[in-house]
Amino acid sequence: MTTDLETIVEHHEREGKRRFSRWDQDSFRAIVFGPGKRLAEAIDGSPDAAPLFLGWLKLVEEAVGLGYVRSGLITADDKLAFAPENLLELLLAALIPNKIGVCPPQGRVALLAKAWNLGEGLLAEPPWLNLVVASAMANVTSLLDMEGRLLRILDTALAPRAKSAFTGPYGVKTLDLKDVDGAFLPGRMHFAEPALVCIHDRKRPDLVAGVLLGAKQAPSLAFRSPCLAEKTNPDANLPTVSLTQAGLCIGDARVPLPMWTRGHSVAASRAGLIVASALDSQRIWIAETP
Amino acid sequence: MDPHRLVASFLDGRARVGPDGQLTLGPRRSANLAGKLRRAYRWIVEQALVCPYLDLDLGEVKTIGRGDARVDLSGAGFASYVLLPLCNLATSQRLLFVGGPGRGKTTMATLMAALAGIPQAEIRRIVQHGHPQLTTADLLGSPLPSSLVKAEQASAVKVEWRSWISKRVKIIDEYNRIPTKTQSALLSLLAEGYAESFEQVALAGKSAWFLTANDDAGGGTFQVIEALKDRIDLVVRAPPFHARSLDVLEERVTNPMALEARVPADVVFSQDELNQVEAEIRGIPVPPNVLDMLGFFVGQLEFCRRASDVLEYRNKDTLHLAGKKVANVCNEDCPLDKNAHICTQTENGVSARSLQAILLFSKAIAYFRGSMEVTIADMRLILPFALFDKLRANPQSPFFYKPENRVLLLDRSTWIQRLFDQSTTQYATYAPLREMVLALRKEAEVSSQNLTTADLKRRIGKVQRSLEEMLNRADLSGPIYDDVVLLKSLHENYQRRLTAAVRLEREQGSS
Repeated sequence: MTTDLETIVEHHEREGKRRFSRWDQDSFRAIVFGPGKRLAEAIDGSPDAAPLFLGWLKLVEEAVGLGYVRSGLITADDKLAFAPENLLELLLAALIPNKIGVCPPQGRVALLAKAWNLGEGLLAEPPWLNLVVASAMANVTSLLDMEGRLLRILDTALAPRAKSAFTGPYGVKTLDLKDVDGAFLPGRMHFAEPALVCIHDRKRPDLVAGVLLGAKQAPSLAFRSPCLAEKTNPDANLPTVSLTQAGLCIGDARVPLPMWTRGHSVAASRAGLIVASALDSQRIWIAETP
Repeated sequence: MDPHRLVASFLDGRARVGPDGQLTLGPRRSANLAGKLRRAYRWIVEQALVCPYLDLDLGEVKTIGRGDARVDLSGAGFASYVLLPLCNLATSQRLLFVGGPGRGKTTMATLMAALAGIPQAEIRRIVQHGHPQLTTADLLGSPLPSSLVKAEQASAVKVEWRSWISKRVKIIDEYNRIPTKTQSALLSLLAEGYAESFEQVALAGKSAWFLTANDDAGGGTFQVIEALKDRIDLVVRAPPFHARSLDVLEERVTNPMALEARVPADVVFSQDELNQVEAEIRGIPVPPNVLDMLGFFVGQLEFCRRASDVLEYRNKDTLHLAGKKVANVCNEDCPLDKNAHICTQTENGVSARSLQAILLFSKAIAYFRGSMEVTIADMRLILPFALFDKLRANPQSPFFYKPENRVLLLDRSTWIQRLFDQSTTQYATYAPLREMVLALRKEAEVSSQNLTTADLKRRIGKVQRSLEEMLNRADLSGPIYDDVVLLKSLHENYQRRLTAAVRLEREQGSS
């Protein structure tokens, strides 16, 4: 297969150039000779190797041509230059080359088709949802039951959030943002969606963490992202929220926060969610009321 | 948004496993034709022609330098030479490329044909080259000699029409080298959409026309007939070759493949897609304030205070019918300030046909930008191209005597844009005065049924008072002329209805 790779790649390059106005040859080559080589090695010798590899190549051609994969995603030494921003980037450049080799050979081409359909379908949804999914699926160990995993993420992300009256009681939990970036210091924050908060790093304004706040006891999901809604207008009907020495003051209610010293920023959403950060911590505190 | 339904809809995507076990990808389902139009633009300016002349400024402009050495930097600049032909293709109108030889006018026209899905082999055949010996038969087709001999009446003659007539894109190269008689045949095809010969009719169908001329100021072999010129919706200048883009030429010398053959498939439009794009463009709304500003602008161009003493005849047509020019009356006898009022700068006004073109292409620009409605910026951008050949300057105007304005007589595009900018400033100045007219107009449109004689008298009084106030507060000039005409018309309308109502009351009283 390796001997023929150049010939096959050249064919796809010609096709890509003929079909797509935004054809990015360098990106295509980087993906094929990086993750593609790993894929070829992983499936070498299996009966479906040829249709599987050619199918993947076809999808990469389509994704590069349509601009689904950002330019420069794969570096010359076969590393991800930046975190995937959509499921297709993640699948084509990382998950499929790394994980499809351990899937049972029968049905692997169908798995490829399913991966494409999920990724392309999701691209029609808002960018923040793509970011959430790409981030949440980055560490999956198997490609089987992709739709089940996606469904669970979407369930959390799209669960309807009732408008809160902010009458309490308040449940409190914390989330450490050091997984987003080792030196992340939570600064300015604002809600992009009722349960999606955008937190800017205090010292590096371009470094932003998106946090999808899980309903009730569901876990929250933090991921590195671009600013998700720079121009969000504050909701005039929200209660006044201020930071105190012990925690939060929400309207007339006082909500103590564990491990809290000096507060830095706070943001509230109509879904009854209040997110706060402290001066000396990488954590965020999440208070929730029905 | 139900996640289960969402995932189910994703799974029903276009990737499938074929019976041979191979992965297949169906065509994309979402149309997003505006995005396709933008892709086509990007491909042309970045890969096909490389056009760094971005003369269409959208967004905030920042000026660097001073006086006549200044450069305007805009947040979003577009090349008219690429964007407007695309808009013309999308709306099936008529566009003329002007510029010296070798500027790529015909290349751009053939590129548009390629984007419309016309195969490369056919493109060369559909280009009609203007030359002094071009006959109507050469252009449109001729009767078959055999049927000419056999036919007993004209309607039995079979005409072999030229194939280009029915193509979506029609290209007439060097149209000002076509003999006058042949131009007339071309006119009926271009304006009315049909050609006629021996009582046979060939229909052009929906067409985007691209014409070229080396020199549109009468330097061709034949003078272009006015009616043909008038049917052209946009005039676009082909820019000179940019000296820093020689690497593109070098690549073309190395790889001499026709540009049309390089068009990527994802920017080629099918006939249905072009129809869909046009329908979407026509559906973009023009807000009332944008229409009002356009009306305010063109109303002033038509006005001439010295043309007549009668309100309705105070326009430039009156002068032209008398064999006069604006310069004959636009002098110190006219009390209006020639630097403040734009009526002095033009020899003529704008026709309804041109206004339609302005509105349609403004919609196309808005569509291209992804805007939900037409903005004043869209309209400002299109005006110089829609009026380039239509609006004639009055070179004797004192406005052009000013040294800083003299250059505008050479650069028609900038002149038209500045003319509009001047009108925009006036629009703000006259807004308070015009508000009462707009209110009266709205009142007449909304609630004028079943008015009593008392209502009618009250309204007549209001119109008279508004008219008096308007004439007291402002000179009878371009900015208020159309409003004065409107108020007079409202007054006459109410007066006529009052007379009828009084007569009816009298008749009912006597019976």
